[in-house]
Amino acid sequence: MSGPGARRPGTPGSGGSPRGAAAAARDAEVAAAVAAAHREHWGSVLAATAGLTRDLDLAEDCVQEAFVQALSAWREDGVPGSPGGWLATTARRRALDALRRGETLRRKLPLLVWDETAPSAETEGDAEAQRDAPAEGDAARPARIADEERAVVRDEQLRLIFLAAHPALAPEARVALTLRLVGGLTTAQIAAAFLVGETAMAARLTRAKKRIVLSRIPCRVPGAGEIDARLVDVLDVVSVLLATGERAGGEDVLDAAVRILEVLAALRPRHPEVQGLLAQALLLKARAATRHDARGRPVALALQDRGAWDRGLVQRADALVIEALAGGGRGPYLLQGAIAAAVAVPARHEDVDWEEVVALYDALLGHWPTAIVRLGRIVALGEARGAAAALAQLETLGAELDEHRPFHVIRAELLGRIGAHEQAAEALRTALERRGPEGESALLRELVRGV
Amino acid sequence: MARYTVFLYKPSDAPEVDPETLAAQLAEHDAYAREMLEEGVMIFGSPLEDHDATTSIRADSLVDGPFVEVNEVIVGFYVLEVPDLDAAVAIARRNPILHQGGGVEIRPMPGEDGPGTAEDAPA
Repeated sequence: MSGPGARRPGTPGSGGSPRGAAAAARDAEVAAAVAAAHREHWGSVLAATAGLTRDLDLAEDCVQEAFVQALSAWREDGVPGSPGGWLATTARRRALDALRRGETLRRKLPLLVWDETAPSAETEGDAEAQRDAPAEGDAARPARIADEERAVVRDEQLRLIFLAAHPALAPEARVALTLRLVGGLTTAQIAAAFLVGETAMAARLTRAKKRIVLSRIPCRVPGAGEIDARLVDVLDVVSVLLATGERAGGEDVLDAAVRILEVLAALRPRHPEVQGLLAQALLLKARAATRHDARGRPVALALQDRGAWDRGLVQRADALVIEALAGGGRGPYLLQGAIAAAVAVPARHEDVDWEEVVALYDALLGHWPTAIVRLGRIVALGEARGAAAALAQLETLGAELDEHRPFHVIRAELLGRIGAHEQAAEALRTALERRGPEGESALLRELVRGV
Repeated sequence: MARYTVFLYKPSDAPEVDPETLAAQLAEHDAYAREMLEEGVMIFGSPLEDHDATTSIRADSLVDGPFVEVNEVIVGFYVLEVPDLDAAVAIARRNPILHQGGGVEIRPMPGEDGPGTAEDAPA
């Protein structure tokens, strides 16, 4: 299990001893390579190992140990040509050792249902992984992980993605499990992202994994008849990840979301909802550097430095949205992606077509007639037709969103724009009484003083 | 393979249905049970007599009536043997009670690969 001790490897922490500068540089290089491999390969290495152990906890332990071993082995021997292959082979050998020693017999739960009937093109081209892996005798059948593009590797990752988002699991467990199993985040990181205590999060993960084996929730890629419905379950989980990443500023969470969407996009190319959510994720990533200032305070969209946005990502997102809309997609995740693209693509804030954004929100309300979507529409309306028009509609949401800080922040902004400064200050003070990130609170306090 | 018990529930205050409707509903359940037998997924199943026919036993007494008063009562059950939860859900989803005002609950039963055993771990 991924207890508090399961630190993410690769974070520098060994700088104290008096060693040569070259050795220190080398350590830093290896640490960076391990950290990069962790981001890139955790999910697929874990998936391959779980397929062998049929035990998620044992697989997690073996993968964790493989990453720890990588830190010292790569320092000695250099970073292997295929880090993913090296890690998978190492984790696999540890798993085989554990199985041989019968460690799983002491575990109290039944085995993970790993559906073998699923299509899987067996190994080929493992030569590189085999060569790179530390060779010590028998059992280490080469792991089939060298190439993330390969069908088998993708299939294994997909199994974990669909498992973690299974509808028989509680929604909050799906999100946490996805970050742990697919994203490789530690329990502590996940707890921090959801503003939950680490013990509570560990218990939630343990309960979810127990539920999987006791109920025999299968670890497999859904078949043709069910995949569309199950895909939406995964998208719902990823959507929560994006919102969480945005709120908590969690780059790890955002990266995990992007990687899952890339795998789904490879499984179902041109699926408009996947494309829409991927576009949304890429745009969040493109803007990540400008969304907070150096002191961690949020920067309003109109004031963000568009020149600092990653234009490559913006263009890719825009192309995804255009292709999906042209393909006839009109689902909620595509509409959200289209809204994000309409806001992000123009080179200047003044060039955004806010009437188009309002129209997209109207379409989105057809799927999700929620107060939060209406709040988004009102913000766009304020840009398109002025603050007074927006305020008139905003008041209708007051009862429902009174506990929601952004509602009061938006209200203050709109009131300020029509010159109602007293009321605006009051709305800001109300906003400060609601829960929110500390950087935002700091900004709100400054605004209260300054209005 | 894994075993599940599927419990069929109805609201305890469900109104009485007329005899023809009842016969039609029961025929649906018969047809569904036959399907499951033909598919080889059902080990055993049965409707239960009325909730009022329950006898409860406590340490010191025998009671005419249910052990606990509940809003939903069990009206029948099936024991399924299928590969996994997805298969059990796919079968239970077709249960006619779902459009007869009731619901089902799927509970896993400890199996041969249950606690403490891992013989079929691939080595």
